[in-house]
Amino acid sequence: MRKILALVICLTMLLSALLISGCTPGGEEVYVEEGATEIKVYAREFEQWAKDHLNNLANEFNKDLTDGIQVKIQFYTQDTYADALTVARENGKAPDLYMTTYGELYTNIQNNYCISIDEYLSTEAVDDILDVCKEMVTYNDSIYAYPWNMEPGSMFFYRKDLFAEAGIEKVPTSWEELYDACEKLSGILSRGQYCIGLPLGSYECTWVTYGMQQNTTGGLTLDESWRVSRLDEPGFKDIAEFFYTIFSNDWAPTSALTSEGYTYIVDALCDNNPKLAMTFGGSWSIAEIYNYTESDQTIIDNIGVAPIPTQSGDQTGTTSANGGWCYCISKQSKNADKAAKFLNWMFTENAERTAQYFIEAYNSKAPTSQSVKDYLDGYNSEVPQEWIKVVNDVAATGIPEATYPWDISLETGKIFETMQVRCKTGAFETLYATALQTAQENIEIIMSRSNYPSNPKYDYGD
Amino acid sequence: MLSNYSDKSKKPRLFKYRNAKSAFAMMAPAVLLLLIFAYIPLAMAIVRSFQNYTTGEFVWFENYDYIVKTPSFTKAFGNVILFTAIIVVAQMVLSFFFAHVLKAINAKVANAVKILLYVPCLISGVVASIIFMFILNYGGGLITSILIGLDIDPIAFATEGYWPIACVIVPTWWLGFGYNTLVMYAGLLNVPKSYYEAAQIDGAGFFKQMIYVTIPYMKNIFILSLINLITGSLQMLDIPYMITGGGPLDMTMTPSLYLFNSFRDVNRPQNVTIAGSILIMIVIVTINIIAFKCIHSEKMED
Repeated sequence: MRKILALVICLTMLLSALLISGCTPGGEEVYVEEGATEIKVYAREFEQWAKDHLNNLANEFNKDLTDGIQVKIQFYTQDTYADALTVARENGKAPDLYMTTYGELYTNIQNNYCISIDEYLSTEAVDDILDVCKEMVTYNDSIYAYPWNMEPGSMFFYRKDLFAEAGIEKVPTSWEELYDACEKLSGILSRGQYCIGLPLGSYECTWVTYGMQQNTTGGLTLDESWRVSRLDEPGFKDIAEFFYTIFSNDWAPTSALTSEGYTYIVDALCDNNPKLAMTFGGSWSIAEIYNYTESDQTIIDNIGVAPIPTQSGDQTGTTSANGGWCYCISKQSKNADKAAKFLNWMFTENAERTAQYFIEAYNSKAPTSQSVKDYLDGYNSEVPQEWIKVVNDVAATGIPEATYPWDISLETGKIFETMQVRCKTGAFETLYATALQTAQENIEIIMSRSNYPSNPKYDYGD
Repeated sequence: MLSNYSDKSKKPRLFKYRNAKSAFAMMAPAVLLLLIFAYIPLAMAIVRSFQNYTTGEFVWFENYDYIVKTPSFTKAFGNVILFTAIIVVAQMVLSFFFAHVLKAINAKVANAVKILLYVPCLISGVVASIIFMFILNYGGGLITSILIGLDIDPIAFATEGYWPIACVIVPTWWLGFGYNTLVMYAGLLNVPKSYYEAAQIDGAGFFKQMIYVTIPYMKNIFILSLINLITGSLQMLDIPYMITGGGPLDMTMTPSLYLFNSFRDVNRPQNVTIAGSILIMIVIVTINIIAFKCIHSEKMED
């Protein structure tokens, strides 16, 4: 009994000592600034290193006990983030700063969730933002968010050892070359192994194929006015046939091989006996390769990265949409100026500080400002230079994701999904005609909604 | 004395309400909780379904117009009607049949079987889905492993052919089978033996006894099971969410799952989601009113 009592007293004393010295048991320093304004930041929880990075940034910022600002980050998982934001807004307690995707930014503006940050950014800071990013955060000539990163959603990953074994000498750049590669690979792969991993289901087939749609058809589902469907463009039929060819030949799995589906599809490429020989994957797959293989150089050396094959074989144009995240200041924030101060501190004041995120991310994301890009160009990364070049090149030609109602984009994804799940039940022409007609009818229904929006970046001339 | 009590007109007013205070006091917590957590939110939801989410301006049926012009939501309604029809028929027929088996077998064995049957009812839909996913998973589930071991191509249960529908219906049926069987079994035990004896004397065989004695006597049990099954099936969410995610091509999408996804979609005005929920509520309430009317009329006949 005495021993237990002594132990309890010792633990209490130790805890008190830690608290008095301002250290938590985890070693994280806590800075307390009396009377400071708390800036609440809602952040999506990604990988642990990304979470640590943001926490460290906030901690570093909070070290200054004279600026009257203390930042508090609250992380939410993919499943809870949107709910948390909705609930906070409903209660009038929206965070001062929050993350959103480029694709969702316009809805945030429409719904008055965020404010323009023009007045908080210096001219130099605005000029420093890369044009491709600036376009994604600008509406009605105002910048509404600071772009944090860019993630091309579709790139091509392959196993060099399997290519060599199958006698594939050239990395496929066109669909025809990809079919040839699949033919050759199917001869050497065993049951349970597949030639290529592609996005599955309408949801993935929608956002992953934005780049492919742009490359093949010269646009996305709707034209610039958001009033006319472009699905009659022959390129959409070609993409559908691409999916039909791959899936009817059993070259791709019809169900996800990994728990997160397309997000971590690259895992299936990284095993010693991989389930996939090639796969489409987002740029984040580069970091995933390092994490999954625990930086096993033998496997990493066996993996190649390239832009996705295109119909014509020309990969210099758009091959991907740029996903990624940006930071907004809430309309409900009462301390927008102080939130902006933290925003500037993170992104516009010190390129070296901002670049650390991209370094820790194994260059799997593209930077959003010229100064950070320049810094990274001079940095000696452990990631192969050709991989980094592919990410930057694909991002530079990437397009923003569609901002018209998601249901409409999804109808195009459903056409491609039809090819995946019905390819064994009928001829391509019949399947495509039915899928196209359904999609067109559904798009018309969606467009007939009484509150169907207009494109803020289109001049309707009235 | 008794006649005095039965004559309401002569009852003193004070006597009539002498327990009113304690009665109201006892009812108050329940009424208060219902008001706070059910009726006030419901009223707020109805009001908000007629408002613009951002401005609060009344837009009347605009949100309803949005949700009924959402192809996935309308398809989900069609799906759930199909699922409900299959689940209700399968559940009623098989539960009724198995209840007969339980009644016929040895009491000790029947007790053990009842426990085994009831165990799935204690499992949540999410856990049941995980169990089925372990079996059906394409990447390395039990069936995939067996098929690959036998050098047969694995089946993509979540996407191939009509398998996705089976993937949703079978676990739902499995979860409810024990409860429905026990309800039917209890109903069967309630049928007086004398009815069967009278029927036998009249020369009725097994099927005639079932049609003219068992089924009419258990009509209310059937209606109760029917209401539970229809209401439960219309609100299907966890199993399609976990196993198929509503796909492929919205084949297993249900209205509840659609609204659940819609609530989590920051792009969608939440008042549209609320309007969709109100629509589902109207459908379920209508079905329940019809079913309760049926029960009521049965009781009247009794």
